[in-house]
Amino acid sequence: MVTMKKNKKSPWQVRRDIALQVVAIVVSLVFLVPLFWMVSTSLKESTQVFTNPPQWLPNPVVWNNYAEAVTKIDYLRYSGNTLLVSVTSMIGSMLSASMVAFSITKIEWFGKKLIFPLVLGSMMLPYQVTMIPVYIIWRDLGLTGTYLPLIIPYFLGSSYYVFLLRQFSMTVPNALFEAATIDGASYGKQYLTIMLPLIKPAITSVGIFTFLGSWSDFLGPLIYINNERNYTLTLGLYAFVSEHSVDWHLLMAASVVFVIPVIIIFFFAQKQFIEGITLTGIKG
Amino acid sequence: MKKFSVLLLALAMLLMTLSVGAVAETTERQTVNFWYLWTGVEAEGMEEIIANYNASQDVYEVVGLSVPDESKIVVAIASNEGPDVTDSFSSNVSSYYDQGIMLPLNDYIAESGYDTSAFPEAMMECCTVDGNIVALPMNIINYMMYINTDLLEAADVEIPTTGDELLEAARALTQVADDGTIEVLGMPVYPYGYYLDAMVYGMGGSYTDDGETLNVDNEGFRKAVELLKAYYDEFGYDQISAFQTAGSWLDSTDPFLNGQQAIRFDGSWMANFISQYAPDLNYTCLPIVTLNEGDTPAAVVSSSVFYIPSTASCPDGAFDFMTYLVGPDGCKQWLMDCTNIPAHSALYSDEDMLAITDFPAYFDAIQTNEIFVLPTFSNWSDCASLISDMVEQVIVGTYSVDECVEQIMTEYGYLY
Amino acid sequence: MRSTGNKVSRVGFFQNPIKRTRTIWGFLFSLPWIIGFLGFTLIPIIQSFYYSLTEYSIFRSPKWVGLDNYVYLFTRDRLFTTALKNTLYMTVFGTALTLIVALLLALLLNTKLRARSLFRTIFYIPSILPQVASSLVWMWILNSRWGLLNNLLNSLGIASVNWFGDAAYTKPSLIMIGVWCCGNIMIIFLAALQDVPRSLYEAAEIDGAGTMSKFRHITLPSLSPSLLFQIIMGVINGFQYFTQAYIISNASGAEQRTYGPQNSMLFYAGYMYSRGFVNFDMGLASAMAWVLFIIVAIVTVIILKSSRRWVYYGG
Repeated sequence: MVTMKKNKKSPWQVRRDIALQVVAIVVSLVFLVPLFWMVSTSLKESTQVFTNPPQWLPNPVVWNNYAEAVTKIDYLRYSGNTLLVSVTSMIGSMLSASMVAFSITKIEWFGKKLIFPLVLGSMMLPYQVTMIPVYIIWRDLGLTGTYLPLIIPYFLGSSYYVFLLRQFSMTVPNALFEAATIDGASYGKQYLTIMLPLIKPAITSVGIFTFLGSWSDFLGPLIYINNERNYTLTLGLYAFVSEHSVDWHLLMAASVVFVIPVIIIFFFAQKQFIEGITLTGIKG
Repeated sequence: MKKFSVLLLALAMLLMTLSVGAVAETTERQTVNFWYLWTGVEAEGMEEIIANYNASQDVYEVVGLSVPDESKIVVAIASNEGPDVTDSFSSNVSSYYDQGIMLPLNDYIAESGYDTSAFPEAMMECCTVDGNIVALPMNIINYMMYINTDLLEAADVEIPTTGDELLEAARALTQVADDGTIEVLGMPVYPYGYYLDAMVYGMGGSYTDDGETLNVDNEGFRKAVELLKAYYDEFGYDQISAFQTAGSWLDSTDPFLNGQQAIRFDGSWMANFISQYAPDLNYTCLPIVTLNEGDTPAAVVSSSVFYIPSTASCPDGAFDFMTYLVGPDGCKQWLMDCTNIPAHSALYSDEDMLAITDFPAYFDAIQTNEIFVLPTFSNWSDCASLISDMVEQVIVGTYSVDECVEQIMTEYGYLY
Repeated sequence: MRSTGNKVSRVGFFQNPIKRTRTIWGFLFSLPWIIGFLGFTLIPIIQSFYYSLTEYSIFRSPKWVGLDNYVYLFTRDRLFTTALKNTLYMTVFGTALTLIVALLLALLLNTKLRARSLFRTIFYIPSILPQVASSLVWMWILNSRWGLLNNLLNSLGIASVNWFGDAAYTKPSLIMIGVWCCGNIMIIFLAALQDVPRSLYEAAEIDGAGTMSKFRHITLPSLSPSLLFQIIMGVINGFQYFTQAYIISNASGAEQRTYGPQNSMLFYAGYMYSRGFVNFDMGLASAMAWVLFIIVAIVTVIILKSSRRWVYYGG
């Protein structure tokens, strides 16, 4: 009976489905246009950038723009810097967030009930409230101008990622851990041999999000990095733009190069992205 | 005997290496860190100056770094990782000194017998706070009026010499398409920021009476704003804004360089950009208009200055380099390459300088016009943004000129 | 599985070795967070309150001024009210529009569409691009003379709009960028939608419910927890809005006003940054931070309280 129902599609339903399909296509084109335009402009010659009406497809295709953009902005150095910061931040947050999540979900101690509400609260705290004292703390430690102010917070259990891992850990049955405790396994051992393997997908998500967050971070480097040699990519791009003449074709080329790693990571890790977000989003 | 001579030889060699080592030690240079705001071609010019300086002496080694964002330089100084020498604008001197960022130079000047009278009085005024000389000027930033003579001739308009004539000329020179978009801009309201300073002083007004507090309640200020408002009223704020955001300053889309702007206020670097982007442009360069016929033109100037941060680790080297830098030997080539007007008066009679396009006009202006210095009191940047916001309200139509002046003075009273 | 926790809970810390081990290990594993929370959250919050009562430029030590900073902000600082208004505008309209579009897209993707995952990818990607890059692309697209959007409008016979040069259009332009980046919220809504049991819809259909009715009585209530969370996060993020506005208003040269035409792109976070890191008036900036803190706290409480009436926490 069910199969019969499925085959019977009213003409109204068919029209509706087609309409929805069209809507989806139109909207996705609109969403794609900026990206397409970014790539298109990046391959144009500077004179063809300012044309009226606009040229959709560059002719000739100037691949050299990329070479020029990358040298004009000292791209390699900035990428190296950004990579250094992002990778260490990623390691830091994966480590510390998982440790904290382990502590508040799998160990029976008084902190279990105390810490989580505080984590939630910190997530909701506007960064402005602590921005200045934290800056002054780093300054008094003599660490402004280094990458440490950008990296260390991730090693100290950044609230958002603790929250994410905590949510996921709650779905991991405690039975395994309790059995291990009875068997006499230390918590350290439990963390390494049981916890980490079980929450691997969530940790991967945390790693990816941290990497991306650090890769795209603007305000942090803006405040803490002063020497042009230490700029990250976000700062480098911004510095390029805030000078008086903007070479749009070069700027778009630089933006494309900036954006490509992100898109690549997304394509390889789609599942982790989606899972990671849904874990934090569906919350009562 | 052989043994003894071998010993002697060894001793001699030892002595030699020691003395060479000692000499090398004493000739090891001290590093002087120099951060500058310039980028691109101007930065390259700076590096040349640095190289020349390093080659001319062997006590200090200057290392240059381009840091275009000034707040970063200040933050670095605050965190004790700043440079030994850096540059800024004369408008910041007072507030930087108040914040304790600049090192007073009086002692260094006295000790080395450096002659500061080579700089025009007005420039040294910019660099002195409470009797402390805290910076040295390198150039003079002065705005002159650039007029596209082809457009002028085509519209059969005469060169304006007073404020009212400027408005009339601007009206006649502005070309508007059928739908209201402006195709040729007559008034020097691009770059927007350059109009007000030049015109306020040009019309005989000022921003301050005593150099310490803000006062815009004068005829000249009102006149400058009135003329501005008249132009905006006639051609429309939206249209003018659209025109202003369409092109980029000093690049291939710059309106003046593309023959789309008839009259423009800008600086000595224009000659450089004109030769680069619009070599066939016919133009003339004149002092800013005055209030009445026959008045002495006024020039409101500021300057790029160099200073030694209070946290510098090698101030001696910094001072030595700085004096070289602002002296005729140091920056002459740079000033010429970047077409900036020198502050050091020895260069005013320099043949090479006089050969540069428009420089004679600028030199003449510096030496014959009435020179005013843009205010340097410590909250000037807040005052400047206040003035700019209130004037914007006038051209948008919210305030009348009188209301604007009132508002500025009232709000000034509230500033921290 | 019976937890051993209950049995030992009444015995004290020092007496009970098991409890001791657990507490020590629990503490150790949470140590990173504890250090972070104390050192980078709790203590700074207190310090920030202290600084707000002083005049503090980082070149000198703080000077006590009591409530002067707050008085100045509310009675004499002419840009403070502008910043607040702009930020409120952005928070309310920006969040509302972004959430609505995210919801609509999620609903779209929840139907029997072909190539759903392709569309999902397309809608999602803008939200993970670095904000610096998306600001730049949109600045270019919304360029008043050469930008793509104006060109398209012109070809349809509509006059060009001075997107970032006309005070009336600057914030809508920024909101446009925000909506383009709604992908991550869309994914959350989509997951929540997919969690709604089909049986509910089928039962409603049998009862003769139309699309609108199904939406109002099944979809929305099921989504309400996610909606609530997103609204709260949207408000909190709205008040922290900084990067795009900063980049766009500071880009290229002599023409751009620091905060956009008529200060229309002056947002709270940007103003605070300027007071603290450009003027180095840390005391005033800290006062601004606390005012923000209180506003956000009040708004969050109001939203939470009102949520009791419309949020449905199903099983």
